[in-house]
Amino acid sequence: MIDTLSEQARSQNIAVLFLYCDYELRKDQSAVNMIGTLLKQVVLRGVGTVGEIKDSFDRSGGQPLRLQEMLGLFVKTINSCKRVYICVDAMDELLPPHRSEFSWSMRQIILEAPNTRLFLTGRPYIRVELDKHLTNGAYTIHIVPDQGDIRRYLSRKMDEDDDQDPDLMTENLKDDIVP
Amino acid sequence: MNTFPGGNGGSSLNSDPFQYGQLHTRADNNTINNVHGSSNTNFANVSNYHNNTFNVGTSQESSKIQAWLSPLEPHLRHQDVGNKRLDGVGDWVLQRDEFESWRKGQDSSVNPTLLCYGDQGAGKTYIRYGGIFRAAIDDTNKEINQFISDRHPIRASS
Repeated sequence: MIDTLSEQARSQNIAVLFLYCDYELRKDQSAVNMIGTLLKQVVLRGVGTVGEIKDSFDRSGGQPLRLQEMLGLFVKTINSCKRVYICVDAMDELLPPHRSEFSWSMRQIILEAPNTRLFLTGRPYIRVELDKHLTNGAYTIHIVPDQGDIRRYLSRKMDEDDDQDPDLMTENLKDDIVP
Repeated sequence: MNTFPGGNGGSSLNSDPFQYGQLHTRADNNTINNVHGSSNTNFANVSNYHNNTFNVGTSQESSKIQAWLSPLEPHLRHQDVGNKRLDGVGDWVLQRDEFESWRKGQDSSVNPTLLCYGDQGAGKTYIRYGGIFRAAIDDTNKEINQFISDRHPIRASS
């Protein structure tokens, strides 16, 4: 869905970029690598001023960029976009030093690139830390399990439950479980 | 303006208060090959417009540039989440005032960030898929709005 949307968005010069924080990748998910991954998506989706990336690559001689250089390149690249949505999922899964560096980096981006909108998710215990670096004054929504969501989830699981005897899961039984 | 604790106070993008070591480069070429070689429709599209719009010479060169940017591959998990997601899950978030304010916010003095926080299993990851960006883009793009109406429900899986 998102790739298809991004293809449509590209023609309007709107960039939609995603980062998935993952505990299994925690060592590699440093701030500089995360911003680099955003730029990679800019390249793949063909939005922004991608020529900047090529120029920077040529100048670097293949040496990895430092965080400040990566941030500067990102801001220059997305400058021509009408709007840039950056979605970061599960920020609690970053290592704490990486998370504070990354939060600081996101702060720099929203200050330097006013066309940016950030959408973040994370567990409650990182709120204080995020507020300190990034989300002070931000909009917040507390996510709690929603009854409708649970109902949809259970219904699908029951529909898929063919492991035993498919005839056992009758409509009546389904109604008993999810009235 | 926030400064990063432990840095030397530099907050401009032109300064360079941090020293960074070499990137932890994993087997990035393999990952890129997977993306480009996938038979999945979405990934094929990505490859196509990558070739059309990123005119930096050979595809080998653009692979090098991508590996240089980051060893991380952003697409794999989002495909997984997209496949597992149920239509309608998390859509209630779209009705919240905070979401509307974030989506419509034109005031550059307001923090342009929306934080959704919740405990493990509450559905944060799937809520993000519940149309957050669909709705956000709708607001600025009638064509996409129409596209979504025509194609709903749109799924990452074929």
